[in-house]
Amino acid sequence: MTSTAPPTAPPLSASLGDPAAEDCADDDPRCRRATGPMRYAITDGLTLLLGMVPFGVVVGVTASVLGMTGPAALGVSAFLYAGTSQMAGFAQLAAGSAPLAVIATIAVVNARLMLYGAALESRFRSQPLWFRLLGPMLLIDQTFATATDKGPDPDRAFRRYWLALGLTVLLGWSSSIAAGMIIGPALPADLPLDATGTACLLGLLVPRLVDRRALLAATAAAAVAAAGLALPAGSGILLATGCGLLAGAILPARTGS
Amino acid sequence: MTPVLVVLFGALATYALRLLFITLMPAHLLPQRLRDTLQLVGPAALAALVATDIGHATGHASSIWPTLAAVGAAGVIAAASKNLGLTIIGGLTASLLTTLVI
Repeated sequence: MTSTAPPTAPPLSASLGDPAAEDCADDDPRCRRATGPMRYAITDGLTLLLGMVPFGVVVGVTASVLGMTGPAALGVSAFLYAGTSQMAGFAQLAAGSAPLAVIATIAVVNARLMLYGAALESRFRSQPLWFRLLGPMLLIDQTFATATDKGPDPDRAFRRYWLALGLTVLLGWSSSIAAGMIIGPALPADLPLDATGTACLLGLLVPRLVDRRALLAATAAAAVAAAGLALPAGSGILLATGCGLLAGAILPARTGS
Repeated sequence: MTPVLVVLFGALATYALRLLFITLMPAHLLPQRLRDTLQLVGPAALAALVATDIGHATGHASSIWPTLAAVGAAGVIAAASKNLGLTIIGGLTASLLTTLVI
């Protein structure tokens, strides 16, 4: 629904002493973020970290259990920058899976990042090459969702917003993993960390079950995965994902409004 | 191959995935039908992972109840709140409590 009446009061941003944002409506975060992208990005990033830090600690604890400690492990975690896949990969490593199966698992879990990239591609299209090469490294669920809703439209403002948001979250995320690595040895050995990883996957899955296609794809994939438990690690998940895609493709896609 | 090296290769694969439809093969060049199907990768892959985790947990007496408790609590919280942080904390709490009780 769109408003047809002009605003009768100055925007809230104007009363907060942000003269450059005076022309922005209160319900237009993208416009306001065009005037001070880095400041808004850091605030948005800190808000995201409230929900991410506990999971980062769990990832760090799990890394510690596997003997992955020190700057190299932390650097690799920052480069991967995808906690769910890291947990899934850790679970495979702990189970003694083959390296290729672990890498395939990480890739499968992160396959959704392709879609995020496809959805954000228009914001990157006219950016400089260095940004199109380095910017995607900061693409995760949280930065995608935030930038889609709030990322400013002008290229330069979006670039600054994206980098500040992504680096703020990356710094907080890496710090939480480091904290988990440090306190890991002091924690009981029988912590049900695998269950936490499953809860995380479920937390990512449920909001995506928004229509019949997604439900059908998820149901088919889950059924095939359950039937394929005896398959080598990783391959059952790949097979199940493929079957889910085929099942979902039977139904017509939403055309949008 | 050490765990750090395995995760490094996973990170390289992930970087390629991030880059694919932004820089390597811009999304607007793909056929519409393929773009529509790719939208389902998330639900399909995540459902497969959850089902696999639950299936593996049922094979171990020590992990079945904490896992089922985590899945039950996380499912309810995720459906009600759509908040990933809350869902994880709820699942962790449920599995910890179950571990303590058992």
